[in-house]
Amino acid sequence: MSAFDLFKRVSKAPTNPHVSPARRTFDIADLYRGPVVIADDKAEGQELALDEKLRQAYFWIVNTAIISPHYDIEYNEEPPQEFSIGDHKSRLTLPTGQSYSSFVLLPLLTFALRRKCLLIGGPGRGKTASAILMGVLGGYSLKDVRRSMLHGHPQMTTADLLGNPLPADLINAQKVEDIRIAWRKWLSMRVKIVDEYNRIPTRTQSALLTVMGDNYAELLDQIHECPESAWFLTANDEQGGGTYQVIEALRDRIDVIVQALSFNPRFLGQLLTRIEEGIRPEEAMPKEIVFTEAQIDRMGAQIRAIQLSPEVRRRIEFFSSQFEFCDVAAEQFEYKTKDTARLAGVEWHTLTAQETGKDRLKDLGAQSKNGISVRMLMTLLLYAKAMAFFRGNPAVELSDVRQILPFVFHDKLIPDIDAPFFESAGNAMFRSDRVGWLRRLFDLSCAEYERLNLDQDDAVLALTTQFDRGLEGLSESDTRQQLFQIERTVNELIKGQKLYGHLYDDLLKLKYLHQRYTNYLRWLRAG
Amino acid sequence: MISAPLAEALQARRADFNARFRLAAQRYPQLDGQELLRFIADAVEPLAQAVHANHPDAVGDVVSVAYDCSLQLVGQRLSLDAGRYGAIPETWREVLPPAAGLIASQPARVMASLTNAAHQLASTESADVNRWVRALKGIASQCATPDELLMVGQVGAWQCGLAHYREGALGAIPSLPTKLACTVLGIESKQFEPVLRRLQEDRWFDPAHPNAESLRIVRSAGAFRGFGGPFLQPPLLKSADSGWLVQSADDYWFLVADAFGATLHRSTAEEWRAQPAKKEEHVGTRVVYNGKSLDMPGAGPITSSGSSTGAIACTFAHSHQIVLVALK
Repeated sequence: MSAFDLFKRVSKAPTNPHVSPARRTFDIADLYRGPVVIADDKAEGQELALDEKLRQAYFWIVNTAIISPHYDIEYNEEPPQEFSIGDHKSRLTLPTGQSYSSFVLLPLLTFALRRKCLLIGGPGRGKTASAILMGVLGGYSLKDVRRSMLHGHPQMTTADLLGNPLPADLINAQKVEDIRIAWRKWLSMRVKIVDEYNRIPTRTQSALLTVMGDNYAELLDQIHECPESAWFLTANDEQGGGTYQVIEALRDRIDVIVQALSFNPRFLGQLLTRIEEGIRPEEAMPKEIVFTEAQIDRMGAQIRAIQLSPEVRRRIEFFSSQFEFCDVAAEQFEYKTKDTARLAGVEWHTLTAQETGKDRLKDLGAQSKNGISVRMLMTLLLYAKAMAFFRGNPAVELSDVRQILPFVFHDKLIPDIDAPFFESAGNAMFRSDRVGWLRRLFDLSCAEYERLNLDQDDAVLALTTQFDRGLEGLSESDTRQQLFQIERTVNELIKGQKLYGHLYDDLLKLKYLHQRYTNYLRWLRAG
Repeated sequence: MISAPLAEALQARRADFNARFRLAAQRYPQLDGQELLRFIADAVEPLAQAVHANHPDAVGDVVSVAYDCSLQLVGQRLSLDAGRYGAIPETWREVLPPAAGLIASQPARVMASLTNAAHQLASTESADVNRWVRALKGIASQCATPDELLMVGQVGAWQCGLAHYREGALGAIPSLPTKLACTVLGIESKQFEPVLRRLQEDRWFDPAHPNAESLRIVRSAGAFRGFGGPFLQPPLLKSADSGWLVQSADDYWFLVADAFGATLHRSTAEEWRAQPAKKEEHVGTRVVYNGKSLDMPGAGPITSSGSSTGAIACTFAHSHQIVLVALK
C-alpha cells in the first residue's frame, strides 16, 4: 500500500479550531512537520483528544468516503446569506459556521454514544456502506463487519438471528439447561448492523427486540449477555413499508432516524475516479481514526459530562410541554392527555372535533397526535450533549438542540397532517418534511417562550427553586406562606388564559409543590 | 540521467506509481509531470544510488517513499532549485545520500522529517538554511540511528536561527553521544559539560564567542515588508515573559530570540492589549541598564524598549528593525 494515499489522509489541522487563551509553547517536534506528510514507519503513539478524533473521523468520511455530502445541519456565526428561488420561494442558505451532513454525523454520534440509528432512504444511497464504515471505525476488520452483518429477509428465523443449539447436546441432554447454544457472532460485536430490518418476520422481530432493548439473547433457557453496542439498522422505508410491519416496540427502541439524501450528479467525476482506480474507502480507513473499546467508553463518559444550562433545559421543557395535553380526553386534570384518549381507543378526529375555544393554529400541541415520552427526552438530551462534544464545546447550545431534535423525534412525534397549521400558506410541504416540520415546531416554541418572557419572569421556576432549597427547618407560618403563594400563582396563571400544554404542565407542577408543602404542614402539626 | 537501480525500482512498480500520480493530480492541480521527472532525476537519483551501494534490498521501498514525497513537493511547487525553497532539493542532493543507511531503515520518517525541516528553515527569514544543510551533510554519516540524525537536525536548526526551539534542542543534546554533540556544537570534547552548562544558564552565550562583553548588540530582527520583512510600519514592542510582543500597523507578533537567532510568531491584538507595559530601558537614543549605557545611533530616537530573557529589545523611529542588546 502506498504511503501517499489520499484515502488514508486525515486532516492534521484542527477540524474545528477554537480561539483559546494564549499559551505559547514551541515543540521542537514541529520542526519535522510541514508540507510533506507521509505515513510514518514509526507510530507516534500520541493520542488525540477524543472529540478531535471524532471530528477527524467525520471529516475523513465526508471528504473521502462519501462523495456528495449534504450540509443540512447548519450552524451560523454571523447572519447567513439566503436566497429565495422559484415560485415556491425555495430557500437556499449558505451557512457562516461549520455545518455538517446529518447522514454522516448522526451515525457517528450514535457510534460515540452506543445508541441505535436507523438509516432510511431508497436503494443504493449508501445506507449499508455508511453502517459498515461505523463497524470499521469500531476497530473491526472489513471482513468481520461484513460477515457479522444481519441481512433481513422474510424467512429469517430466531435461530438465524440468535444461534443454534448444538446438535449433540440436543440428543444427549437430560435437561434443557444442558443444551449449549452456538451463539451468532454478531451478538458479541460492539457495532451491530441489521440491514433491511423491515424485512424480518414479526416473530423474529420480537427476539431482536429483546437484544435491542435489554441487551441479551435468550434461546432454550440459555442467556447470552451482549456488550454495549452501537446499532445501525437500515430500511428502504421507515413507515413500515417493508415485507413485514415493524412492531411498534422495536421502532420505539430506535434513537435517531436519518435519511440518506440523493447523489448529486455534479460529483460524478469523483465516482468515475473511484471506479477507475478501484478504490473502496471502507478498505482504506486510516488507523488514526479507529476507536478502541476503552476510547469509546471514555468518550461516552466525556459526553455525559457536557454541561446543559438551566436556560437551555427550560426551552426543552417548554417545547416538550406542548404536545401531551388534550383537554377533552378526561375529566380528571391529570388524565387530560392524548395517551388517555389513545388507550381508550377514541378516534383522533372525534377528539379534534370537540376542541373549542383555542386557537388551533397557535396551539403547537394541535400539530401532533401524541406527546413526548421520557425515552425520547433522554435521547434528545444525550444526543444534544454529543453534538456539543463533537463541536468541541463544553456546554450544549440551543442551536445544538435545534439541530438534533428532528432526528430524535423523527417518527416518534406523529404529525396531525389535517391540523390547521399544515393548511396555512407555505406549510403544506411540512406534511412530507418531518425534519423541517420539527425544526419549525421548535422555532415556534422558542418564539412563544420568548414572547412569554419566561427567561425573566417564570413564577413556577421561582417556586421550584424555593422548594429545592429544602423543607428542613421551615416553620409552619413559612409553609403556609408558600402554600398561599402557590395558590396565588395558580390564580395568576389561569387568569383569562386558555389552557395550553405548557400551562397544563405548569399547573401540575404547582399541584405537586402544593402537595409536598401540605404533607409537610401535616407532619409539622402532628409533631 | 537515471541510473539502473532507480530505473529498475520505478519500472517494478510502474502501474502503482502511475495510479499514485493520478490521485495526486486530483489533490494538487499544479502537479507537473515533467517537473516530477526532473526532480526524480536530479534529487532522488543520488539517494537511490547511495542506498543501492550498501542496502540494495531497500532501494524499492526508499524509492517508493521518495516518489510520494516528490509528488507532494512538485505538487506544491517546492521542488525548484530557484527561489525561496531551493534548499529543499539541496537537502535531497546533499544530506540524504550520506544518511542513506538510516533512510533505508526508516525511509518515510527520515525523508519527510528532513524535507519538512528544510522547508521550515527556508520559510524563516532570519534562519540560515544553507548552513544547516552544510552542517548536516558533514555529520549525517556519523549518526548511528535515525533518532540521532533527527536530534542532530533539531540542534542544528536551533543553532541556524530557530531560536524558539532552544529548550527542545537543549533537552536533546544530553541524549546524543558526546562526540556527536560536540561536533554539532562545534566544540572539543573536553569543553562539552561547561559549554552545555553555560548554554543552559545564559541564552546569549555563543560557544564561538565565549568571552563577549555585557551590554552589546547581539542581533536584529524584522525588516520592512517591501524588503521581504514582516513590518509595514516601524514596530513598537512590550516585553513579555519569554520574549517580546511587537505591534506594526494592524499586525501583532511575538519575538523569541537568543544568541543563535530571532524568530517572529503571529500574535493578536487581544494579547497585545492584555500585556501590561513594563519599564522602558532607554533614554533618547541610548539603552540604559543598571548604570551602564549603550548608544544606538543611526535610526532615530528609540520608540520603545523592554527587557526580557536577559536582553533589551529596542524599536526606532526611523527603522523597521528591532535591535537586541544582551545584558550579560
